[in-house]
This record gives sequence, C-alpha cells and structure tokens, in this order.
Amino acid sequence: VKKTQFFELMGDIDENKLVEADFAMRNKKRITWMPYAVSVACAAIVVAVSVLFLKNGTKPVSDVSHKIETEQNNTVTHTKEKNNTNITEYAAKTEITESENQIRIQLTDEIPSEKYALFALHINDFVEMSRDEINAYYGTNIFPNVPNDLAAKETVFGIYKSENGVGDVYWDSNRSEYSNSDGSRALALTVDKEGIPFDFCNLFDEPEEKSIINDTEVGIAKTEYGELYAEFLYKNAGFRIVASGLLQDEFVSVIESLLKEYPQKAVAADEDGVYFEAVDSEKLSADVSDIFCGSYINEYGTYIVLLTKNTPKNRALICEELDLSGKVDIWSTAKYTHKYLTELQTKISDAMINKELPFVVSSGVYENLNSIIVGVTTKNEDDIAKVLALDTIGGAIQIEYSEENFIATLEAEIK
Amino acid sequence: VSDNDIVKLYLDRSSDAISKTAEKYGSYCNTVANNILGNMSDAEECTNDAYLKCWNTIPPKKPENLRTYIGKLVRNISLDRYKYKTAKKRSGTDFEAVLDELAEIVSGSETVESELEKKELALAINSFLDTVSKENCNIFICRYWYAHPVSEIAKRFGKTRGGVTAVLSRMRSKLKNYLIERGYEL
Repeated sequence: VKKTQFFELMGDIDENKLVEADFAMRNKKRITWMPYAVSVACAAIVVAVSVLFLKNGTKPVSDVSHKIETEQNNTVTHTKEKNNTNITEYAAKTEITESENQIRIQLTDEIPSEKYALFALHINDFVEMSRDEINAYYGTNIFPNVPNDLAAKETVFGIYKSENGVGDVYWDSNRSEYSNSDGSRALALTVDKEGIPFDFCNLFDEPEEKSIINDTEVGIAKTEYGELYAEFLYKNAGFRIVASGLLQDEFVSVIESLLKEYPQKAVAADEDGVYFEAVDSEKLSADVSDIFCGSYINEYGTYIVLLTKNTPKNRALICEELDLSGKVDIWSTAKYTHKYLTELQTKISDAMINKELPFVVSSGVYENLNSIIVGVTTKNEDDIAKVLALDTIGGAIQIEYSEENFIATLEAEIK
Repeated sequence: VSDNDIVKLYLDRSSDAISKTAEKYGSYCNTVANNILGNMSDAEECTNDAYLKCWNTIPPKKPENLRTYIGKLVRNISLDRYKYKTAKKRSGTDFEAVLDELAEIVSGSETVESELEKKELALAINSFLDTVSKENCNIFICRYWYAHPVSEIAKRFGKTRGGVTAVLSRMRSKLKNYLIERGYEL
C-alpha cells in the first residue's frame, strides 16, 4: 500500500469519529464549555469575558514560524526560532517590588482557551463556601488585589461533592471576575486545587520562558491586542488569570498579591454566625474616616463594606487605604461613620470605667448594624437618657435591657 | 443557516446553495485543503471544486452532516491535486510529513486495488480506533484525516509537540501491528 493510498483509505473513517475530532479541534480553540449547573453568576462571567475578548478582537492562529526576541533593558540580546507559534519573549526586571522578580512576558497570537468540561455537575452536590472557607480549602488566598476601578462581580464560591455534597470532591474549580464600570478593563481568575485549571496552555514548555514572582514560577503571555494571560501553581492551588485592558504592571501586581502567605484569620462568630472585621479608625486618614462606616463578613461569607456615600470615588479611596481591592463583595451605605461609632464607644467605656453609668454592663460596636448595642440593667428612662446623651448625632445607640444583667449586677453588689 | 436549510437549497437547485455553503464552510474547506496542499491559492480552487461537486451530487445525495460531507469532498479533491502536483517532486509541505509518517505503517509497494479490499481495510482502521482512547483517536484523525499540523494539534489538545508526536508514533506502531495481526499485507 502506498502512503497516499493509505491516507485516501483513511477518508472512509466512521463519520462520527470525524465529527468528534473536528469538534474537539474547533471547540478547544474558542468555545468555553462551563458546567451549566454552576451558578448563573459564573455563567454570566464566562459570557462577559468572552464578549470582552471578542470585542477586542482575536486573531486566528497562524502556522507561520516567528522569531522570539528577548529583550533585557530594552536591548535585544538574542533571537531564536520556536515551533510554529507566534511568540515574542520579553525579559526585564520588574519595578513592582524590591524582590528579585524576573518578568518574562511572551507574545502570543491568542489567549490559550479553557479546556471544555462537558460533564454533569449536580446542583445538589454543590457545597457553598465563604471567602475564608474557600481560601482554607485551597490553602491560599484566591482573592487578588485588583486595580481600584475594578469591582468584583457577585459570585458564589464552592465545590462539588458527590452524594449530595457529603462524598468526595469531584469539581472544585472556582472563578471570579472583576471589571470596571464600562467593561473596558476586566480580569477573570479561575482556580483549581492541585493543578492549573484547564491545564491546556503549552506556551511555557521551558522553565526559562516563565517569570519568577515572589520566588514562584509564573507563565505570563499577552496578545498584540493587550490581553494578558497567566498561569501558575502556588501552594496547593493552580491559577489561571486572563485580563483585558490592564497595564502589564497592574497585571503583575495582581499576580503578586496572590503569591503571598495567606494569613489565616481567626475571626470568631457570634451566636448569629456574624463575623466581624476589625478596622482601627484611628489609623484611617481624615478622608477615609469621614466616609468609612465599617466592614464585616456575613454568615454567607460575603464581605460588605459600608460607606456614608457609595460612590466610585469613595470606593477607590477605601480600597487604596484599606487594601481592599477586589476583596469587597458588596458596597453599601450607612449613617454613622466607623470613626464616630468607635469614638462613641470610647466615651461609653470611659463612663463605665468612671462608674458614671453603673447600670451599663456591656457596650460594643456592631459594624453589621452600624450601631452600638449597650446592655443595661435598668429601665429607668433618666438613666438611659444619660447613655443616649453621649450620642451627639442620635440614633447610633441601641439599648438592650437584660434581666440576667440586672440579676448579675445585683449579685455583684451583694457580694 | 442550518445544514438542512442549505441541503434544501441544493435540492431546490437554488443558486444560494453554494454561497450559503461558502459562507458557512468556506474557511473549514480551505483549512482542510491547505493542510494537504500547503498553498492557499490551490486550496481555494479545491474548495470551489468541492462546492461544484456538492452541486453535482446533491441531489441525488442528501447528506445528513454537510460539514463532513463537504470535508470529504475537499479532502479527496485536494489529495488528487496533491498527487498530480507532486508526481515528480517532493512538495516539502507539512502534508508530506503526514504521508511520511503514514509510510511507517505501509510498505509502499503493494497496492490495494479492489473496492472491497479498500472498504475492509478502512473498516479495520475504524475498529482499531475503537480500541484507543477518545483523545488519542481525535488526535490521530486530526493528523491523518484533517492533516492538521502537529503544533496546531498540540495547542488544541493541551499537549506539547513532543507529546503529540509520541502519541501519533505509538498509534502508528499499534495500528501497523493491529492490521498485520488481522492478515492485512501492507
């Protein structure tokens, strides 16, 4: 048999196989198959990012061999050929940190697409997780610091476990997206445990093609249209980040923010399951203390920040000063600034210490309620008025009368 | 436009049939042809020939999958043109590499003449592909049916070039043994 005849014979291969191979070849290129059982928010993110990239335009892959140019301090140092892929590699020392980061960004003609995952995820298997829980699951922080103008899209995080959420984990890919108001700048992050999500990119075959950021190897690529791509393993998690409209330095900063030791927060929940975030108002600048009303993580893991006025400018100010870029799920408004509440709390505490308010047994700032709850052992209106008088604005104090407090106080007095 | 709608245009002998086919499958046909010929100008001519062949064969044929139907047409036309053009010299294209790889399976001397033998051999190749993983099967077909470059397959399947080459090499060797075991004289 001659080789051309054998090729000809291959023409009679089962049509279904041809369709499957053709499908695999085409769809791994652009179409992203996301499990439809994932929340609608996730699906929306996929669409948003796809639309964004399509809007900016992508170029079909070419087989033409191109040269790789390596630049160091803007000087071309060497040129080499690489397999049929349009790649230009840049090497330059980053100015982002003082560490010995080596940033190498490869030019590619398209962002590596996600491998499609076409298998059923059952919604009953979904185990929703708070930010802390999902960070603990991955063993590292998966919420990057993003530029101030990027806001996080509301996303439900979690994993899929067989047997209605109690068996083995069979899907733990989580995706979050950030974008500015008009969508011209956006970033999507996908994270998997123990492997790079949709490990599909073969841009970084050699270690020397990767960047070194915070002592971690990071594959970074960008297209001529300015889309940026990164993939890396850190701790036990694999990250895949795609961005559009971001500056190279901004992108590197985002990556860098993920390559840090994750401080495991020991935040105790109160009886209602509400977690509190501590922010020291005294350390806030005047600009921020005038608008910041508090922050907390609710029982669903949603990070909420309260502002006097929820404006882009105020959000940017808070993000910058409190390093909250990309961490806030919900921005909301409240009446009392955090500074006012903590100062009021100090006044109440001082009065308690000075025994000016002997009927007050407890007092605390509740950031989720944007108020102070004062526990008292009296129902005497004059006594309560003494407490409320400290609240110069009015309405910031909630009085809680407790019979138990009253009895406890009596017992203490008897002793 | 759905395949059914386009096929109906052919059946109705509508002049829109070819333009709609070109609109939907022009790029696909050009890719298949160009993979074989390595020349876009020749590829476009083969694609146009495939449109014409569609026009001449539908009806009586009524393909269920127009994509693979026209894909087969353009593949055969391109292969004929390839044979014609390279009767005396090597083309040096990637398709030449595809054929050289297939040469590892065949002796290059014997020729399967009868249609029955051809069909049997094609069936044997099919059944061999049933024994391999879906991914390997897809890679094999992408290389030896669509004649896609290894680099392109690697990119699409998330492998390195070396990885794809290794998969193809192992599969060629297995296919050769598979066919020899079943009495085919290659």
